[in-house]
Amino acid sequence: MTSTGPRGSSAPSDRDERSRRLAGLVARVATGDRDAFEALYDETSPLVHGTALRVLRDPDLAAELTQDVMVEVWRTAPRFDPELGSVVAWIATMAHRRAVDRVRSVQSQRTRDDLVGVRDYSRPYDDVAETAEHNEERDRVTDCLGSLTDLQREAVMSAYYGGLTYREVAQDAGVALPTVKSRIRDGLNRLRDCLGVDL
Amino acid sequence: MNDDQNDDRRDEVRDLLAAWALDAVDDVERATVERALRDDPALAAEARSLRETTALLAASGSAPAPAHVRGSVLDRIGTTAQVGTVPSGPVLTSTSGAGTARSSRRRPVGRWLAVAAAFLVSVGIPAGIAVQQSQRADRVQEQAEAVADILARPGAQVIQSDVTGGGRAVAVVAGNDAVFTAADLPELDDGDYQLWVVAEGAPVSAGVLDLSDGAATASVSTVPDGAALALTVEPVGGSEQPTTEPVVVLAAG
Repeated sequence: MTSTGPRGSSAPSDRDERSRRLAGLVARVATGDRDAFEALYDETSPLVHGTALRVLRDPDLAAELTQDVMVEVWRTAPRFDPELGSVVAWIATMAHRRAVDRVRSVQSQRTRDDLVGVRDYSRPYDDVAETAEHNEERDRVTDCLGSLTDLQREAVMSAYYGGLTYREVAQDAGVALPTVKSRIRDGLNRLRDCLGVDL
Repeated sequence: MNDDQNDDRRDEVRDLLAAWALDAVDDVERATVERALRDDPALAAEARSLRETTALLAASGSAPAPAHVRGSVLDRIGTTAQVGTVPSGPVLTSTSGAGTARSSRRRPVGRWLAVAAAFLVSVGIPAGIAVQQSQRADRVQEQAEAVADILARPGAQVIQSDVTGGGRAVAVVAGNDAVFTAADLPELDDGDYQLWVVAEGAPVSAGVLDLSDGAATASVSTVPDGAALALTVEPVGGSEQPTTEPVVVLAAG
């Protein structure tokens, strides 16, 4: 892949600013402020929907999950604690967990053959750009994903977007568990460092 | 547990942290990791940074939701109470001067019905998991009906109390029947919550609670007069007799 030029050193500070702004919105939502919720919806629902779409691979299910997650954001906003992480991480975690739970409950009802079919389709790295909105942060992520080894990237992406456990990733790749664990760990650590996320 | 074992455990959790941040662990591992994070600030900081990283990954795949979703969400939040807030309404606000339950039973029961229904809604649509929404909705409906049925009976009583260790328990008792509900119970890594009917000091098991996001409901149809409901933490699968002190006891007055 081609590099999109020097990684913006301003990424973390842009991120911090957005983070503070979103936390401010959530604090208002927690008091029942509907206008604040609408603003929060507009900023964060694409993240929820994109995650749902990739993991569930079904537009109707993704729309339904987006709806449920955004209502849950409203409902549990009073519990959001900025000390524990950013708004984006809070919402992304909620969306991803729900999507993964759903995929796993569906998969457990399927035959192994169907399951393999689903997994073969779980190669989302190259299509990141297809559905994504174009922005600098996205370029940065694409760029940083390119700094992982192929094996690391495949392990991270099939775990995250395939909704697989690391055991399933190992099974599919036909490699030992410790190998997969370290690919996931090294891959995600490298991504974190490249993106400049503070420890 | 000695220090070496603690270190081993910590290494084990640390090894799983990235997979955890990607939701690529099973439920047992998830619980193990999250318990360790509560006790270990350094590990928790590392976990947070990995969560932020996966969040950026998720954000990079953003895709606008269809327009109709926005309208549906805004409609739904109009009827969705936020956590920690009491829904307002005529039933809840008309309690002044209602007197005691004994002298004026109808209104308190109506009031409790509203409170219990609100409680069940907040119990029934918990934070984490959205598996099989429709089944869950059916279950919530059944629970709400069970509570409504029992509340409608003459002499129905509502007893509630905080649970030691976290959470809240409510029982609705009428005659020999009771519906027990609990919310926000801490997840147990290696145990189950078990409900007991205690009459004259002799506990009889009413079963192990099926916990879903910290919430559970159980119907009991064998509650003698003057009996109490007690909840204990027992080894997985439950016990013949309680092996620990109750975390909550609800006694009908």
